[in-house]
Amino acid sequence: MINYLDNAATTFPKPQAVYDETYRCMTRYCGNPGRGSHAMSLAAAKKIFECRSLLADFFGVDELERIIFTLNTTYALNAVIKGLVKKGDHIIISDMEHNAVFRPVWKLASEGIIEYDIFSSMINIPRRSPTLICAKIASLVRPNTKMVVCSHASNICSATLPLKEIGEFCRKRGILFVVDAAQSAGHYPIKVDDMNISALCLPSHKGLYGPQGCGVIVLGRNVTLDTLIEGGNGVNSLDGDMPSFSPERYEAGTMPTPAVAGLCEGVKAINEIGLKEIAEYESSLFISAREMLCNTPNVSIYAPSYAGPTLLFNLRGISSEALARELDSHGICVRGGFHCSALGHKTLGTSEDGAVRISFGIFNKQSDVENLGKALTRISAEQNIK
Amino acid sequence: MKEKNDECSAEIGSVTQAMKAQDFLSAAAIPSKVIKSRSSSRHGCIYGVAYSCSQENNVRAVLANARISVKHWNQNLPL
Repeated sequence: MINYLDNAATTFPKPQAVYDETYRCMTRYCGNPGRGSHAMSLAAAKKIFECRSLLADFFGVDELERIIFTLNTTYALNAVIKGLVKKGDHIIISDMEHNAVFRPVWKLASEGIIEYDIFSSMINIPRRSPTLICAKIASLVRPNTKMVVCSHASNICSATLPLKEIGEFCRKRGILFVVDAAQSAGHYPIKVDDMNISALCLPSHKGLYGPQGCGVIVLGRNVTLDTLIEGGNGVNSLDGDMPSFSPERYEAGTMPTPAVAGLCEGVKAINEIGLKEIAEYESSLFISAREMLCNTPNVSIYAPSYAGPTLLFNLRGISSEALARELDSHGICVRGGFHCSALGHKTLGTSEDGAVRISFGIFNKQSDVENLGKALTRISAEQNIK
Repeated sequence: MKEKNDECSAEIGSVTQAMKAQDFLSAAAIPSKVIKSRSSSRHGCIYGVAYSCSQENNVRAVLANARISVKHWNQNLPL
C-alpha cells in the first residue's frame, strides 16, 4: 500500500476522467491541431480550444487567446522572463523562489543583461502583512525595475504571497508582475486581471490534476513577449516571422494535445469540488500532520504556522534524503533534499541538509498522516534516534 | 471538384480564431463548422467557418460584433 505524499512534485492519483480523456484523445482524435483539414486534426484543435476557454474562465481573463500552452512551468517562466526583459533592466524576486525563477534570472544577471534583487517575504516574521511585504519590495525598486517575479505559494512550505496587493503595488508603479503559480494553481483562487498579473505560469500536472508534459502561461492584458523559440505552428507558413498574435506567436511546434485533453478534465474536477473546499481539506490534513509531528520526538517543523498543502520537517539524527528513503521503504512517498529551492531553504534555515517535504492533494486521507506517524516512530526506533 | 452548394465561408486565420468564431455563431444559434480554407495552399494553414449562405448577413453581424476579423468572404464556393 502506497501513501503518496509528494503532490507538490506531481499529483497522484488523478481523477478518473483525466485518465479517460487522455486515453480517449490518444486513441481517437489525436491529430495535429491547427494544421490539417481532416476530422482528427480539427477534433484535436477543438479540445485545445475547449481547454483554453476553460482556463480563461478559471483564471479570470476575458480573452482565451491569452492562454498559452507550453511544456511545463519552467518553460513558461523562462519564456515570460526572457521574453520581457531588455538589457539594463532590473528584476525583483522573492527569497522563496524555486530554481525555475532563480536560475533564469541568475543567468541573465551573470551575462550582464539584467540586475536583480531579492526581497524578504518575511516568512519568519510574526507581524508579517501584505503592507510590510510590499514595503520590502518598494525598498528595492529602482528607476529601471522592469518586473517583480514571485511564487504565489512556496514549494517547500505553505506560505503564500499576497498577489492582489503586490499586483496593485506593481500596477501603480508601472512594473510588470510575473507569478509562478506552480504550487497554487488548483489550490487557491487566482484571477489574473483582478490581481493585475502580467503573466501567470503554471503546470498541468500539479494542483490542476492534469498529465505531465504541459504548462500554461496566462498573459495579462496588453502584454506581448519576445518569443523564446520559433518554429512551425501552421500559421503564415511562408513567412520567416512568427505571427504577431497570441497564442500562436508563442506555440511553435506540435502541441501536447493528450496532456491538454487530460488537463481539461482536471480543471473540471477542481471546479466541481471547489477551491475553497480543497484549501480547507488540505489545511485540515496539514493541521493533523503538524500535530502528529509535534508529538513525535526529535522532529523540527519549518514555517509551521502556515497551514496548507505543504509541510517541511526534519528528524534529528538522520539526513532528509536518508529519511525519505526510509519512508519509501515503509510505502510512504515524500521528497527529501532541497526541492530545487536554494533560496527557500536558505530562508527557512535548512540549506545545510535540506528537509523532508510532505505535500497533500485531494486524494489524501487522514490515514496517510497516521501511517506517516507510525513509520516515523518505527524509523526512530530502528535508527536508535533518542 | 464538387458542385457549387449553399455553403458560404469566412476565412479567418488561425484555428483558434476560427473556433472562437464558431463559438460566437453557435451562441447566436447560427450553425457553422470550422474548415481549413482553400487559400491555405498559398499562405499556410488558414481556417474559417462555413455556414449556410442564407445566414450571410447574420454571420457578418455576429463576427463584427465579436471583433473577429475576416480575411475573405467566400460565397457559394465548392468546399
